[in-house]
Amino acid sequence: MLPTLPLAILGSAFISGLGFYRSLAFVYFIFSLFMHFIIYERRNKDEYYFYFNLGFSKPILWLATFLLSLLVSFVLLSLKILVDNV
Amino acid sequence: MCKLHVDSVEMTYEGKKILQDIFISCEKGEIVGLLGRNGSGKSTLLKVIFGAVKADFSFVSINDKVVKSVIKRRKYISYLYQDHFLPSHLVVEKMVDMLCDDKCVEIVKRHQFVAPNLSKKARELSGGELRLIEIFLILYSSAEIILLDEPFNGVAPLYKEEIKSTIRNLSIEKGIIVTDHDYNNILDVATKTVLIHEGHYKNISNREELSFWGYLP
Repeated sequence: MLPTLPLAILGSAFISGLGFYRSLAFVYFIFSLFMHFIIYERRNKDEYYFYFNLGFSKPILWLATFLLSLLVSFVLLSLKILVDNV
Repeated sequence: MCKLHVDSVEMTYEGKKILQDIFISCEKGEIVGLLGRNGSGKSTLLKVIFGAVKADFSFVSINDKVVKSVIKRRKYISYLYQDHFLPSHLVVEKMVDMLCDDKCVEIVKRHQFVAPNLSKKARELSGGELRLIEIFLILYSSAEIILLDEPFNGVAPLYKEEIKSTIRNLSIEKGIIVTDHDYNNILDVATKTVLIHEGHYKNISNREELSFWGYLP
């Protein structure tokens, strides 16, 4: 999750019109799903078997990535509200 | 009680039937050796039992209860994948805590193969060290049924004996299905041997039968 943040900050610089925090939240959400795809579906497919042995299935792992990304994106949006109010 | 019953496994891959009406059972105290030529479907069968691959048809029951849900099945079954599968960024000690049965965590952490590498990440280990750790993590998991896909692959001969000894000791409490390309390893450790020949299941009671079915010259 964390290595995606610098990439998202970089990516958000290319989006205009949404404001920094909104574009960061949007780019982070998309990037983290993309990173999950690259890391676990392409580069390290075999690592799924570690999580399978822990009782997780592929849809559950994807759902976890989706929900965590959503949560981080909401935190980033909340930061905007916080900054606006200060 | 720990009893695995797998029946009527049918699997087609790229239009070819690789498994047909396969039956396999394993219970506490048994070490089932699974043999077959390259591409005969041994690994696929283990993946079907574990629930990582969906067969055209399969019937799996554990302790006389049909277990369709893959998540429920994984409470009873652990599977040693044929290639390295430990996440490269995780520390060995953490993985022992995550995968091993609570009663066995200390045994594994003190094991001569595991102890020197406890603080290392998976990516810092050699292929052989990693394989040994993977084997012990799976063998000492809380699952009652253990599926081992080529556990002796890439392991030094000296360590193979240690693995066989651990498999024998743990089979007192668990049912174990093991496959390997070197049939000597299988015949050495198995209490029951089966061969997958042209997609079908054959019970094997001696080496002559392996020759009869064309597995040995």
